Amino acid sequence: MERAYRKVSPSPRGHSSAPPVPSLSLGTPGPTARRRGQIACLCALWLGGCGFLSNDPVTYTVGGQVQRLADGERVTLGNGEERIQLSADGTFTFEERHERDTTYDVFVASQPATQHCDVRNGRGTIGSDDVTNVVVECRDVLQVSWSPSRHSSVNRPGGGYIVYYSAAAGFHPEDPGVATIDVQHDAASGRTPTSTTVPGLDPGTWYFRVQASSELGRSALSAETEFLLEGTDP
Amino acid sequence: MITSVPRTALFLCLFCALDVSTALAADMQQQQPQRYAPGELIVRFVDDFPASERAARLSLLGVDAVIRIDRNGNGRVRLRKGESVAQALARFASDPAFAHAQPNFIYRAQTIVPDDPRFDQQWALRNEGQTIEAPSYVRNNPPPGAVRDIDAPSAWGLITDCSDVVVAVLDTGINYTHQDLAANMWDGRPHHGHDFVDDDEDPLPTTVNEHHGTHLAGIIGAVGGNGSGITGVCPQASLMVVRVLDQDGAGTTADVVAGIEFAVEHGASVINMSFTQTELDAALSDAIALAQEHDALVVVAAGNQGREIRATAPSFPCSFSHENLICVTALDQAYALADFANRGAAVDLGAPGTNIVSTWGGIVIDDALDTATAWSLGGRWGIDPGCDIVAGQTPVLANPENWCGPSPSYDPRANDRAWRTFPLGRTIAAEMAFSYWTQLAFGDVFSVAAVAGPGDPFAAGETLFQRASSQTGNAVLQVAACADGETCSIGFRLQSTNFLTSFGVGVWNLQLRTMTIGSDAYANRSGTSLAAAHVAGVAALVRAYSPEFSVADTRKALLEGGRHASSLEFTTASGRALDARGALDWIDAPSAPQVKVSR
Repeated sequence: MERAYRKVSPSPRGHSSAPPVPSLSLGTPGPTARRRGQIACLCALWLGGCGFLSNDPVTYTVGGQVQRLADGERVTLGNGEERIQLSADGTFTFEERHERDTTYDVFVASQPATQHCDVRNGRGTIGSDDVTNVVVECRDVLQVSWSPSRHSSVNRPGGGYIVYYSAAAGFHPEDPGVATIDVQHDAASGRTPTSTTVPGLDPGTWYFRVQASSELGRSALSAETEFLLEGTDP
Repeated sequence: MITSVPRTALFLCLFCALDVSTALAADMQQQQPQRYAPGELIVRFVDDFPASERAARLSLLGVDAVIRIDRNGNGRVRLRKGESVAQALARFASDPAFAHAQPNFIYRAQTIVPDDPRFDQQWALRNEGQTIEAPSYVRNNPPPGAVRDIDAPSAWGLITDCSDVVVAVLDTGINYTHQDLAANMWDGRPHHGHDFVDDDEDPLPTTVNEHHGTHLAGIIGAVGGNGSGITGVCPQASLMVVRVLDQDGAGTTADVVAGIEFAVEHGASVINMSFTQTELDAALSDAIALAQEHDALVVVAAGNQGREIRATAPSFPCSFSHENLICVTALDQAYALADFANRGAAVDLGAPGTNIVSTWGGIVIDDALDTATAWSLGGRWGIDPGCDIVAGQTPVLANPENWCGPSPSYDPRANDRAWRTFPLGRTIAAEMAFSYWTQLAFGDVFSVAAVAGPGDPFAAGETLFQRASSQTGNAVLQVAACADGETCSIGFRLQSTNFLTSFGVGVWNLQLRTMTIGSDAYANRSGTSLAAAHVAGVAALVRAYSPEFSVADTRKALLEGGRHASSLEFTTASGRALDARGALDWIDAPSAPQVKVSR
């Protein structure tokens, strides 16, 4: 199935998103909801009665804000079959309109090249107003690399590395709050990668350790490396 | 794939077969090898479960993500901290989103037990509490209580072929023609090495007593699985012979340094040096540093003086602190420190070093003189099976035959000969030894002769020894005639020149020793030299298994892969004993990671 893409140049941060208003709009104040019933009644003045036309339901838009998207990066958001591509922080609104009591599900269809974006408030049910509180927060992706283990079992199928990271210095893998990433031998290339990316970390100081593993067991932990991930004010 | 198995049945079977929680607890208590990876499961979603909802479902079950492991949709998940595999299996089993969940089982290579007939005497490789025959060390043979070894069969489940790793044995000559060594010799030179003692290219032993190097070579790399003799720690090896010690086991700095240089320049990455002396030797230190530059590990023996090695009482090369040197002391069959074994902070590791059965350069024939038919006895020669005159009830070859009785007297004008033909095979050197007692009349002669092949050695052979008076003593004679041919004959003669006579001649403790081409001999010896050789063999296994390992990695694998031994706790720096499988399993840690923003 083909998907509809459009590019959006978001309005500056802090301003509300206002999609194009149809020419038949009555210019009603407030949210962008258009009361098609009213339009129908206006039409009826020409056509002899409202009952001649269908009573179209009221519909609403879905949108929100993109935060911390880096210069030069692009993120593609999806909602149903619609896709919009954003290239800077600011507000966005999907074109497709939703009737009351229908659901929406905003997701990241395509991540930026060097960042990772997460959606908050992306799912819900349409109420009596436009949805404007979807937040897409983008964070820098960290690249962690290390020198390879020289043990043969690590560098063949079944071998790999475990990257541990934590906001606490001097952490142990069993400590609470320690996250892990498995990096496994890649059968296609015949190599075991010696780097990986860590997405979605909050700004702050993070600590990393790496451990080699294979079917024979695990190595000792590497020494700990500290990294300060600087944040951008939203 | 297990798609044909009903889901419920599959989960039930997993629980039945595993009794996971009980098994896990039992594993923990008994320190048995783990049967599955802790903190992990293999799971697979049902096919029609929406992809967009999978992450949320995993999150609900407390796992982050599935690492896909195959094209069937199976993936590995890491469990919550502290959650057992059994608990997690129960949660996944009750979730209809999953078609399949199981432990991440651990498969282990099978241990290998070679068919070498003397393997059951190699307690160092597999200790079953066996009694070692003809022991060279009495204590703890057999060992009381629990037994330990270097776990060689388990290591061989991973690798048996070390032939890509050249192990240089700097020692006496090595009988590289031994049937259990010949196929595992380094082929970089016509004679598999070099002789720095005699400065020639053939490092074969030169006398019948030069077995030390051959014994070490067999420990490191006797051919395994050939249905013959023993197996080395490396069943397939590449053994370089570097003769730096003479037939008495003594060598000079100059020869040892030259030997190290030869070894590393010809590709040796493990060097065994089972010799010691007590003076600081700067030239040797430089040579070991050269080996380090060539990424070669130097394995040395702690010494057999039964003392502590201290700064004020060093033992070199053990007392050197080079990072490519590992010093080894000896354990007995109960993993107690052998009573002859040196100890101290300079000693890195312990390894088996008592009652070690290994290859030997040649045979020793003890003629017990209990088979008179083997001898051609002329004139008055005879064998008295129990002569009280010497060391009590000892068989004696004598002339006259009643030499042990009262008032013996050999015949006047006698020319009596006794000889025997010995099947020796082709030898490099041969030696005979015997005890004798002569009481001869003036002018009469007792003599010994030998000839290659069968027959009377006095007819065409070489006279080796003569006595023309009354004497008693022990004789050791080089027998060149027995170093040429498959057999040789040795004989004794009593010649009387006139009518005078006397008591005669008695011969006992007759022994023929050889250094044999194609030897199939084995012997049992003890010493820290042999402990070092076990470590050198495991070092070769490690380097063959992980060819990218540096000398530092190899040394760490040996030390950190070793197992704690209480007898080594205060007698060595590591407190550990050699463990072949542990060394192979040791994985070097990655370096400290580099972190950057990915743009």
